[in-house]
Amino acid sequence: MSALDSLLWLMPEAILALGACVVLAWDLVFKKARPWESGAVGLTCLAGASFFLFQRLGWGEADVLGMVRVDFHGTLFQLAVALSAAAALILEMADRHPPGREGRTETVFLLMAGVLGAFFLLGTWNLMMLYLGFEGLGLAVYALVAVRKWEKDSAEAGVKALVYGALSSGLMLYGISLLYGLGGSLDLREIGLETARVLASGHVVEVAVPFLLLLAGFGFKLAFLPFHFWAPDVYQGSSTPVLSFLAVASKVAGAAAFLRVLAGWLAAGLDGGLGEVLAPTIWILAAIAAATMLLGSLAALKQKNLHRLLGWSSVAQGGFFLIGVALLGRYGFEAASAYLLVYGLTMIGIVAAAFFLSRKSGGLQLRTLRGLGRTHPWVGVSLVILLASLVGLPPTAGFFAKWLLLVRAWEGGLGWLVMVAGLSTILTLVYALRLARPLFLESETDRPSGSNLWPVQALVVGAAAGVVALFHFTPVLDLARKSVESLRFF
Amino acid sequence: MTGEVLAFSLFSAMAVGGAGLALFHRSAIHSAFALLASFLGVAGLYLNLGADFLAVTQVLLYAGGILVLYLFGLMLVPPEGEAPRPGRRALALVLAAAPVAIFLIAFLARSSWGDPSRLPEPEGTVRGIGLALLTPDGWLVPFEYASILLLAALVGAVHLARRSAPKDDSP
Amino acid sequence: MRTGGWHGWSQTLADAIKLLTKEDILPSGADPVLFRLAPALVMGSALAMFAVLPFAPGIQFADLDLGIYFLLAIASLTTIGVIMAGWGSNNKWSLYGAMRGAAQAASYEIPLALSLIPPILHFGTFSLLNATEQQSGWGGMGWYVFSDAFWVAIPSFFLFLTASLAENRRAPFDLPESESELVAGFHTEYSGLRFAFFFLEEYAAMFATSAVATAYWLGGWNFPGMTLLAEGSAWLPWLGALAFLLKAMFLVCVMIWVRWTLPRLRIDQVMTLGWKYLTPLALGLMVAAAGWEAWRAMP
Repeated sequence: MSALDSLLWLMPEAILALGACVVLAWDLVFKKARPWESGAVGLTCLAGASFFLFQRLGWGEADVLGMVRVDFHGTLFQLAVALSAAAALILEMADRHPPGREGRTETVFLLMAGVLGAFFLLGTWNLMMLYLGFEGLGLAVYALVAVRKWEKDSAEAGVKALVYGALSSGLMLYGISLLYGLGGSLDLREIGLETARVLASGHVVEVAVPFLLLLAGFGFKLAFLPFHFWAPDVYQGSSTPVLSFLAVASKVAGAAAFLRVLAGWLAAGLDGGLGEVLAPTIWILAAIAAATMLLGSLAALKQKNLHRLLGWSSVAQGGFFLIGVALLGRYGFEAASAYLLVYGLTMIGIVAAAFFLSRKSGGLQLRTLRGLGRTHPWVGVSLVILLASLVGLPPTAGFFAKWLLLVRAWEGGLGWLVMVAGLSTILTLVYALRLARPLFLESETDRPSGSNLWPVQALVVGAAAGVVALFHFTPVLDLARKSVESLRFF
Repeated sequence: MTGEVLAFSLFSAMAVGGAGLALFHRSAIHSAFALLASFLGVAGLYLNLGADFLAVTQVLLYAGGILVLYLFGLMLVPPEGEAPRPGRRALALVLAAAPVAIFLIAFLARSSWGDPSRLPEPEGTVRGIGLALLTPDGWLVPFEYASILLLAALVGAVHLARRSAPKDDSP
Repeated sequence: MRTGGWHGWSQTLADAIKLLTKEDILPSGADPVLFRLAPALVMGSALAMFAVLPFAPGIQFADLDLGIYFLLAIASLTTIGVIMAGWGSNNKWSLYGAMRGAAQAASYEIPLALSLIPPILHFGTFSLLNATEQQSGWGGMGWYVFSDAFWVAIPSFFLFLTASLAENRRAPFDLPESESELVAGFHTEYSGLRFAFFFLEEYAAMFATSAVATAYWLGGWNFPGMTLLAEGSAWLPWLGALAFLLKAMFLVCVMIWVRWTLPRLRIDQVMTLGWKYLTPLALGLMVAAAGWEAWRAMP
């Protein structure tokens, strides 16, 4: 592959990297730039990157420049990340609070740097590249959370994200170094082969320790139990646009990379008939999934702050995703991938709706939302649809996504996990109702109508329409199937 | 061989002893200076492994850069006297950490990490590292990406550290 | 010129004896360990820098592959000694001096290291010996400052000198000791031999950085007319060492000359100069040098 070809393959990454630098320079060059202009530049770059990613979906597979792996799984989730980051950017551009330019260019730049990190996190078999991407995404998130430094909550959240994030990436790096010692290579596929050999010779601990360390690293990123405790505080302290990035782009990227790591690393072992040795892994993951779902949805029940509620909800959703992972097999991973795609779309809409409603009501408390569904019926109804998708009610894509997960878990012999998931779904329904109910109650006060925020409204309505349209679930399933196939799991 | 073992013992004693002192010393400044010993010990270990570039980089970055910044930061913080004598809480922490340590040691003792002779002979020359970092089929992409990662960290840090702009900045 | 004989030649000796025999004071509030350790650390790192200097053909302690990189790393340890001294003295003047020293060293290390990149790229080596040997052309005048890359070499040379003044805490960057406001800065409390160590370290580091500038920019031991000597002549090491020392001492004299010429900067001026002018300049020179060398290397 010539250098020019490589560049063509890496076009999305190149556009983002250059675009991030342009964003950084924009305000320097154009002194009179309006606050949203750097956001527009960023959005243009994300659109360009998404265009090339879309092209790349059809280009097949390649190892580019030795480290970067282009395959369907990577490109699909890179596209998902780019689109969800674009949604976060739209929210950021629509955000007029506080007025002025402070922190805006930085936010846009950091968002783009985070997306670039997610791209490298998703598109590689190489642990070095993977770690750099993980760290790049993480660093961007820490800074983004604290970007509104004049608010006490924000600064506190930034410190929490930084400390826990640094700890988790340190643990993960330690695990990676053990894996390097184990496999003699940084390529996950080669490590996988060596791991199968080591497992077959009866050395289980050598694999178990790096597994637990990697689990800790990804656990922090995805807020699994017992690594979840940062999530509610950090979600509460960040601005809504940043929350959108945290809850969707960062989470989807981490989750998809987790799938890839497990697939590359354990595939050879599962292939070689070592399923019995790996059975404890399944139990550990299933137990974490159950605990995460239950705790996340129980805690969400009591929240009065919109951001905190979303934080706990996203913890709980991570638990559902983990059901599919715990099955450690092709069908489980397919279900998890499909769930991830649907979760992303649903969450983009919900966060955008939350942004819209909190800007209209001027507060983040649930009680301040009273009556907003009546005055803004489009957003209100869309939010109800999106919440239905989050719970898993027909006629939305969320229904099939959850259904598929539960069916696969039942088939995989994890009947008790299905029970827990059912219970947790009921809890989800309760807090979804708590969120939706005040919207359609009588409002006590009249609110002045401010700016109309039409891009945000469009985003909410679009996400809701998408969720309903995808009740025709075959396309999602196809994407998930193709993406897991491209990981060569079996 | 014995020289190597001797150097290894010396440097690892420096590294572990320095780290231990940094953890348990009651004055923050002394802890930071103890880190110097730890950093130099680690650099010595690298040297012992034939990684000369890495060893010098360790000294340059950690001892000459990061530690200086630590110390600078510590001096800006008003002195609060020495930390209180570790009490029962510390004991509990040690008791909690001990099983982990025992587990790790046992794990290291019984594990087989493959054949060390399988690893390539360390070359450690600057030329090799430079070529590996900058050839397209080597580590070019991670190397270049690392610069963007650092840029992001820099932008975040500068934004957090600088004074807020006057509020009438909005057009 | 009255004291110490003809042009004061014995003044230095007398000073040394005085410093050796003076009382060694440990202030009662000082931190005994750090206070004693600091001069040793500073002096040790200054002496270690000499290990890689190529004085003449065959006169060098160790020709490390990493030469200049090693030297930079060792030089950065001096800063820690300065901080240690300032903190250990338990004196507010010392602490101010140490903090200034830390800020200054951390800031000027960057332009210092970056200004070395043009010659490193030109010669393709970290080794000072190798770089010197490559400058023996043109009858001993093939110095880097006279090469085809002179337009990068000359600014980077001055940049290096400026940054190393700051790195060695020499005027106009001597804020860590600035005697008019901080008594003597970080070594206010030191007396006797320990004070002498700080004193000597400063001059040793000045010489070492001048020697680096000599080896990379001014041709090292190469001197005009060296080709007239027979191959393997016994005179070569002597004359080479003489040439090297003359060049290095000339640069040391320049540093002292600057000291007596320029007034001391304020700390904010020091920082502004370092971050807003020298660092971008160094980056620009690095890019220019890289472009030039790449263009030259093109087939």
